Amino acid sequence: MIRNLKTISALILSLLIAGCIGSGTIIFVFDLDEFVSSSAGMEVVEVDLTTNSDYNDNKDKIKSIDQVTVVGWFVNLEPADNQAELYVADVGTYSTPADVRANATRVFVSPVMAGSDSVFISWSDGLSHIENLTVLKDKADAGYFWIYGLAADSPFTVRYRLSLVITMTAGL
Amino acid sequence: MKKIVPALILLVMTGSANAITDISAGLFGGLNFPVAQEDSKSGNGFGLRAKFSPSPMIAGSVFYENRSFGDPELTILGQTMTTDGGKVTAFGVEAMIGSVGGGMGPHFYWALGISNYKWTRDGYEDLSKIGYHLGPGFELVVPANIGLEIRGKFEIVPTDGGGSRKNALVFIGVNYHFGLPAGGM
Repeated sequence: MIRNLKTISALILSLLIAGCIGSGTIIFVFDLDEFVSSSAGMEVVEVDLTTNSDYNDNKDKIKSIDQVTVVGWFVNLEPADNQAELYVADVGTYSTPADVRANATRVFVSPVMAGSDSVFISWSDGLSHIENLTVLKDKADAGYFWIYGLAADSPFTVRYRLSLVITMTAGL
Repeated sequence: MKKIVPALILLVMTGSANAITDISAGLFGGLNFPVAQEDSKSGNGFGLRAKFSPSPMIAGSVFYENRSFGDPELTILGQTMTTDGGKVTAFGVEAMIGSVGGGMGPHFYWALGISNYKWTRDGYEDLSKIGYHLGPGFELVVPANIGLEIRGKFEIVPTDGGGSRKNALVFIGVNYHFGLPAGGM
């Protein structure tokens, strides 16, 4: 009886081990180049995660992108209050805020920035300002996308100094 | 259910069930170590467990655990930041084989279990999955029907995409054995 139970236990454990034990959760930080975007001259930033060694070393073993968070500074360079926004797209060719709003996906909206002031989004705060997380995870999984900096109201001029914090599960 | 409850009560009240049937309940606490998970750090936890041993070699138990993970830390844009490591509740059942009943003295066993695992973190979606665990335990039952127990377990919680969350746990606890005569056997 005991021998049978031990055998069954070993069998179940083996199946568990074979199925999913060989994975780990990894966090890496991808720093975006600082940029200034305005209603008069919108800026877009290329994100190529393969330039990050943590991502690149594991890109063929990714099992899931678990979280993507935005961390950093948003500086409002205009006198009026505003909210910074981030959009993602597969291409970096949209040239106007209207094009971006029509074709890209909004993934982040900052708290209200007072005129000529800034807000800082910490790691623990980031997710509460994320929208369309599934789209953002899909972009991170693909490893290459573009981020557009906009703001809720025009005219806007915002300086963005940001990092993406990405949590993924990958095979070991 | 109407038949099971009176039967269990009868067993609890029947001292003559000493060597055959052992029913115990206890509290435990200990440490909780995430394995290969950068998004959480080690923490602690506590729990409750009730065990029923129909024979000295086989037992079943139900348990509840409430654990916490430590907050992970990262340096981002030159600043050190943390985010919530979260809390885990696990409610489950397990089977034990080895020396799991029969009275006073040392008892060594292995446990294999399944639980409803729920991980909650501030600002994150809850993760609610089925978890599995396996691990050894050692209990020393002393007079007055008190059992002092130490146990370890390895827990694995399969997640979407073929990955898993894995934890190693070490608990110490104390149990009271209802089914034994006073002074043990």
